[in-house]
Amino acid sequence: MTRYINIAIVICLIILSGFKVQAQEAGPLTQKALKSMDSEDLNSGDIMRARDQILIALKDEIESNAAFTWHAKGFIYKDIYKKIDKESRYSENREIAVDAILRSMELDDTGYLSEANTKAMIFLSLSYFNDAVELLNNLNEENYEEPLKFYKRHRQLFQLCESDFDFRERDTEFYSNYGYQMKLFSDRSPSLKNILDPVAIAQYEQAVYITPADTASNYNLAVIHYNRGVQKIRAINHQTEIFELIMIQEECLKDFKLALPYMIKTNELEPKDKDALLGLMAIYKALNNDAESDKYRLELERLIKSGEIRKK
Amino acid sequence: MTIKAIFLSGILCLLLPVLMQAQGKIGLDDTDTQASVKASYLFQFSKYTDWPDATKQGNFVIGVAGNTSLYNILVNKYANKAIGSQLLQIVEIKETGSIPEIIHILYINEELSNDLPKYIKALRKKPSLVVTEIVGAMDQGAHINFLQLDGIIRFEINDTKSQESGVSFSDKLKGWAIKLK
Repeated sequence: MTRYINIAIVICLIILSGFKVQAQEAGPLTQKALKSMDSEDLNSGDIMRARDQILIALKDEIESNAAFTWHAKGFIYKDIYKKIDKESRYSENREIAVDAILRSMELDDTGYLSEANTKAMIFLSLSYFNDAVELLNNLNEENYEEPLKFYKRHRQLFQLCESDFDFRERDTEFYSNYGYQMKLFSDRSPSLKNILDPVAIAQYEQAVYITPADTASNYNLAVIHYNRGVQKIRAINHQTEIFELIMIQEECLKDFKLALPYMIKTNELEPKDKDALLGLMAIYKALNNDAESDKYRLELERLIKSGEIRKK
Repeated sequence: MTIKAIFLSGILCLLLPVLMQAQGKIGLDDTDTQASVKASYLFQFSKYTDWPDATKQGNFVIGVAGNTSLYNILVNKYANKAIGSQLLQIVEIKETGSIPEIIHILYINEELSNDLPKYIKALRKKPSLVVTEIVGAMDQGAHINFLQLDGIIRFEINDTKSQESGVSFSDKLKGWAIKLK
């Protein structure tokens, strides 16, 4: 953990130096604003003064058309987001910083601010990613749809800086984790299960769409579908009439059929994975296909006997 | 390495471990789905079948031979529920000798198909319903046999045999059967 904090500090210093190195390019009003920020003991009063001054600078016809003025605005608003808004994920000042950097990029015909703007934008993009991850780990009734919003914003901003970046791995990991956390949240909230499970399923489907060979997503997607079917069977009680029993089975069959291809895929990817073999045994049994269920039971027994997988 | 490159690699080092920690396998529900459905059917059969008056005293007894999972589900979910004026009692049958004097329903599992004639013989003169899931069991004297239709557990009924045993199925139950003999 300390290592990551140290890395974060280094990154921030790099970003900071990236911003400051361009100060000599600023117009007089912008310089005045940045001077307010150039304090050893920077406080919120300094930052707000800098904000007011940069807004004045942007009213000036010449400075408002300079890439650096907008870059400076982005820098100041980024600091408001960090130091005054305490990195609140709902900070409007962060979006103002993003817009300012975007404007600076548009005006930067010569590209002299390219590296500084890129660093600033990546920092802001990263902050959205952090918010998405933080939300994932703290899902509740109010915020469970938000991680995707923040992740998409991260992705959108990052792509502006790194248009060739291959997002597949990151996307897969995000959707897979979102699906997992949603499922945990769903299990903690039985009354919302019918709403939350489909959200978890949608994330896993996205993960396997991006990376069809993602074992964890295939397995978990199969298990969610299977467990949903089993849940309906578990709800059967002494009041369940025979016609309902037939209807429930028909409903469950849909869930089990949805689970099957993902569990087969998991088994193809990891033929010696005990959980996948147990999963196939269970799904085929639920589909009342005892012959196929037995086939995987025998395979599991064979692998255990040969020592290729452990019994427990 | 450029500053930009250092920064980008820094992002990966900083953030990916956060996501990695959240990875995990979702637990597979280990409920025996087939046994759960069969348990429900057995309970419902008791509601839609009529037994002779002489057996309407004491407990209503369902015996299970050869399927521990089904036995456990019946005990946990249905034992002591009311069947008319009787309370449901579930007994595990290990051999024909352990069949109680009055048994309303005896379920015989597929793995005991070789012993089916013995069980049928033991119950021949009793008003007991024999429920199986064995191919050809109806011809051997079973009253109800589970079978699968398009992946769904359904059942067939031997109405002629049941009348010989003194038990009668309701028209509703016969209507739900996919085969009626």
